[in-house]
Amino acid sequence: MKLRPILFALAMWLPVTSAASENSKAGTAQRGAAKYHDYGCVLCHGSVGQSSAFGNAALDPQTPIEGLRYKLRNKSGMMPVFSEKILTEQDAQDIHAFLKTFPR
Amino acid sequence: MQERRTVGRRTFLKSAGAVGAAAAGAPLVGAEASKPAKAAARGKPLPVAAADQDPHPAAIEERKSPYGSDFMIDVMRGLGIEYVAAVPSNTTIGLHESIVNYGMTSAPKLELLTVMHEEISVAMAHGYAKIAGKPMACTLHSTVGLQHASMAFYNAWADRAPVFALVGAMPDAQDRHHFVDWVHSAADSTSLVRDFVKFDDTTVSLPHFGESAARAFRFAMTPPYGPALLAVPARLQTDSPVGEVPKIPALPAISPPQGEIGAVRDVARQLAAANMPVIVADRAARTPRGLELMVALADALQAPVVDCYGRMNFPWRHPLNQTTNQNEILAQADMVLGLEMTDFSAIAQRAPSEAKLISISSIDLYSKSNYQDFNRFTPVSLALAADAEATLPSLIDEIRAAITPARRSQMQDRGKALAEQHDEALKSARAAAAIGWNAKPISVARLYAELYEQIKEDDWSLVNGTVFHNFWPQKLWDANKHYQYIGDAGAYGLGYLPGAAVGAALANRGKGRLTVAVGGDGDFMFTPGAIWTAAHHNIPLLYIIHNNGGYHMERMWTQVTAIQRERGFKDRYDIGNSFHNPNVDFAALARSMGVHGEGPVREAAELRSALRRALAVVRGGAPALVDVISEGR
Repeated sequence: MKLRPILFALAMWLPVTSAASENSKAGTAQRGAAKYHDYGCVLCHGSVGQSSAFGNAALDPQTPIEGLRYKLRNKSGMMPVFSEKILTEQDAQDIHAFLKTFPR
Repeated sequence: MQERRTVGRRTFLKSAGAVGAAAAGAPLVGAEASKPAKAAARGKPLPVAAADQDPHPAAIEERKSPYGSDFMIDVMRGLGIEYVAAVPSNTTIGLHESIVNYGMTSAPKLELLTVMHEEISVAMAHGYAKIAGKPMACTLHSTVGLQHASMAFYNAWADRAPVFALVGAMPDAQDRHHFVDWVHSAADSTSLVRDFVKFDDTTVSLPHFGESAARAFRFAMTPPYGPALLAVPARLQTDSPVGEVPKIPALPAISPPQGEIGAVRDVARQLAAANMPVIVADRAARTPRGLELMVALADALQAPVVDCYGRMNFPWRHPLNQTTNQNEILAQADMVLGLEMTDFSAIAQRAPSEAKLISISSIDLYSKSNYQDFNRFTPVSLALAADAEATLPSLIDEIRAAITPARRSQMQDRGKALAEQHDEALKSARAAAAIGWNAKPISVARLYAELYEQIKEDDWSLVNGTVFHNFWPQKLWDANKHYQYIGDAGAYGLGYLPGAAVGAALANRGKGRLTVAVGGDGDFMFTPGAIWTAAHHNIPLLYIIHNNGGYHMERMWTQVTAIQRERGFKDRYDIGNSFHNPNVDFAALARSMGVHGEGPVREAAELRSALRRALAVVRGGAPALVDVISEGR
């Protein structure tokens, strides 16, 4: 149980190793908004990340890209693992850009 | 009409601070702390319908009943039943005529409620019982009517709610005049729902009916409560009694089973000695007294309470209510007391493995095997087979006797710490609710905040379950009356809430309470005809559609499955799960049935005025519906 936050903290410091990330451009909130809906993030997290479905905390707009990437690529609670086959590094960058626009 | 205060995001957050500060400063952690600050400032009660003002006698005089179904009416009146929900049918026509021309025209009045679907009839009885504390009757057409009603029986069974139902029958082939009578006949009709009713019988004479009706009532009203069903031959209804009219069985006083005192004393000593005993309740408080006892239990121990929300088990703003903090609290538990639990295992798995688990449950006294609503087996150290509410008085006495002065002081310290945690949880919940305050679609938290702002001075009753609404009312509102929350469907069968809300509102009507329901669009589309019954019988009810445009849970699971299989995105989760193209116009649907309709409300800023207009209608004694385009969850 206590391992998860430690792994999450470690992920903050990990260098970006994904080959895909080397080719990805900076994310844009506009593309991210569409992808946030297309990939179904909105279903559980709400239109501005506010939903507490399944006991989720609201999404934090300050989440660094490393933190978001860790959440997407590793099993956590009810959230499924998004492989790079279905959600690319570019998609993650775009969704992250959209996440930063959430009001808090 | 006086303009009510709007709920601005800033105002909402400011009020959070005020509530938190007041609660933190409370010198004593106890029942007093949870009482509303301005009880006298509540809104005016709703008008009470004339029919509901008649006192109902405990028993009725025996009278000469010319027809079998007249006798059946007298039996039901003798059992204290006031309403019969019915879809008319030829196999219940004798009963129907007796209600209309005998039950409704002589005292004590037995009123017929016109219903659009048998599933609604049973759901109405389900919701009614949870407010009124006694059964409503339903009459059902043989075979097809019972088939329509069957899912609602399962909901009532799983939710431990009493229902008294009669189904027509034609057991004698000589009575079947054409092919429809044959397809509407069964050799053992009640077997269809036998797995999830407490008692069923086919009555073949009037004395048999009287005896089985009294037995059905007694079983339904002995914890664990549940539905009961009697098949009543059409000819038995229409024939005149031969000879003397049978005796009408007297309404019994029912004493629920209490825990054996030696075991109760043992539990009390363990609770008194525990460092962090946690009280977990699901359907523990059956009655108003049960809610008082739950507060007395928690106060005696200064122990945290986790409410699983099967009923209104514990005041939502009581400082010992730690439902929102349950993961942290359970992780510290050295003892967990489960009261009338549905799924104790879900609680137990979050407590340390060495924590002692004890259950008090009437379910141990009566259950069935085929439908597995009993959930995963939980290995408790003591299973006290008894009704929790009936056992609480002796448990509380034994706890008080077991606590030493030194222990009491430690418990007070525990209570103060828990009170601070409750206040922190409330502040956090309010801050979380403010996120997405102006979002579109409208956030569920905003919906509940706006609603509460307009009803909090009324004597309100929220009659929907909140599991699909992230429990926002429990996190944000103050509730301390047993009728302010009645749990959910039990078996989560869709189509429950429209009927149950109308039944609950009917029971509340006699008390002048304001009934409010917030339900999903998918659930509503199963049984929309229920609100016609509310309009027809002048049953005041505010019904808010949490319109997320489809079967949202299934949308989420479709997407989760697709992601796991690494395919299927770009909105394909909507296919088969959404109600778009065309959208359902719920306000127009309501208006088509004589119910005031508002919406669709798409902007959060429009919500307050729509609710205000609808509430004005409801306070005037009629139903109203507001369609709110909302977030999924």
